[in-house]
Amino acid sequence: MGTTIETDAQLPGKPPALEISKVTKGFAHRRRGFQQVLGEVSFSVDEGEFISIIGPSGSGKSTLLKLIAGLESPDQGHVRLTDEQIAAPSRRLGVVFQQHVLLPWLTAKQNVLFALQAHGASRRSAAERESLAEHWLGLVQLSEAQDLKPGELSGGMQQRVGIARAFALESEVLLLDEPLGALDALTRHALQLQLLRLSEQQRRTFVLVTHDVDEALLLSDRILVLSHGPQARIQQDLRVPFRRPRDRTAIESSEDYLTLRRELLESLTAQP
Amino acid sequence: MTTTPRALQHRARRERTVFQLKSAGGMVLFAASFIAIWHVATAGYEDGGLAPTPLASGQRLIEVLSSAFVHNPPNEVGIVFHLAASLQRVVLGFGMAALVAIPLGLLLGTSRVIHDALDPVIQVLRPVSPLAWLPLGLALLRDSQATAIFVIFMASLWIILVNTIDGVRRVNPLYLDLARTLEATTANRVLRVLLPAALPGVVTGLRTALSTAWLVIVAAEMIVGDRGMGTFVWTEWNAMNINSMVVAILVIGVTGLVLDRSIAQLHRLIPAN
Repeated sequence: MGTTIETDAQLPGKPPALEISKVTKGFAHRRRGFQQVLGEVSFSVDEGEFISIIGPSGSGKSTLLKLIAGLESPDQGHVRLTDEQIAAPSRRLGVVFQQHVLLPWLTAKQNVLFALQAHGASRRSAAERESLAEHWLGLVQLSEAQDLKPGELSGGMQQRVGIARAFALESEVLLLDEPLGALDALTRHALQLQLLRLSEQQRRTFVLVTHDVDEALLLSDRILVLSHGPQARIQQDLRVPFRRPRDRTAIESSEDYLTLRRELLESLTAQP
Repeated sequence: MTTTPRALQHRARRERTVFQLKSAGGMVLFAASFIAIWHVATAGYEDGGLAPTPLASGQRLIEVLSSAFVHNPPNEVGIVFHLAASLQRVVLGFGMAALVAIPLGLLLGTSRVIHDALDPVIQVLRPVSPLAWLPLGLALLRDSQATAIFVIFMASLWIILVNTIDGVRRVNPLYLDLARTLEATTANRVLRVLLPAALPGVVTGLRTALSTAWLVIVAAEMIVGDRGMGTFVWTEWNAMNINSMVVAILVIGVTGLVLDRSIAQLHRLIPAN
């Protein structure tokens, strides 16, 4: 487990894991006309980096994530995944949705298995897929609940299945769209720690959309602040210098934490 | 008053029994007064004439049921054979309609372009009484059995189609986003995501279509059938067996109820949540 403070010390010539360049996106509304949600947004994410995108609600955070996921296509600009331009959703990009999006007629395990076999050809045997699904459900402490249907699980458990499913896909990049936003404070707190542990053990590239400053500070190496929409832009790009593995209590009582937190909150509440 | 869980459970059970007894008593009372009013209203027709009396209808019911399995065509055909003929037509016509309408509905529900292209046709043909297809069926198919099935097909098709489209439209769009991010194959997307998610609409369509088909078959058989519940009604009417009408209504009603209850079992397939 290495420190990620020096994530910009990349090998020369090595492309970033994810590159978003000059992306714009607007939607046509029946009454309000054309609304430019994102004005030119550019940033790149290095391999193994955990970045968070925060911004006021309605700033287009989720739109940005959908563009990266390939679920929407940008009006201008492009999204690149190392060497490949993203034009459609890809298994190289795993998504954890805002709502849990589990298929209600399948059990927790079947939901993970479905993700593993949905694209047809799989290099794994059925038994391998099964043990992979069980492995990931175990890592989010759901072994006991693997044969329950989503309707029988609490909100936190449902979202943990969603997280296990995204991790099980072994995508290079994981996109998390306010995954904990709909949960109560206590559950959210516990799941933040679980995500922290998983992300530090897994060394993948993460993009988290959140409106929770503390969540962003706990989990990320870098925080991008999106300005108030329409025509949202990245108005700040903050490096989070805490060492990994991180300890929540230690971080939250540090001087840097308070400074960063104040800076972020000021940035978020600043009027355009 | 005791309040142990056991006592509470016991009391709840007793209250439920009392409620059920009350409902059953009400039912008997209602049936008895209905028959009494019927009896009074048709007094004076006991020796025949064009009103069924309770007593004569009851006798006729026993007659029809006791000769239910008589099979000596063309003059003596038991009610069971009429019923079987009607059910067969309904099952065939309805089944073929389901085979066409469910896949078509899944397609039209997902493709806006194809839907908008075909929608005017659907909207014009949907309100047409299924019986209006009957002469066309006779002309094209030149066979009364095939025509009856065709009419049932037409009666069921639009209902299943429109409800399936509606069911697909109500599918949580995030399920489809999920399928896309997983790069699901078309077969997996349609059969393992779209169809189960659209099932409430599909089942509603099947259920409504089956009861409509059962309504329509009786009318259709009055015109084309050489056998069937509709034929039974029509031949008995021509023979002035007015008491048979009551028997026919009872048999048709009970069968319709059984059909509806059986297909309603499909609702069990729909997941909670």
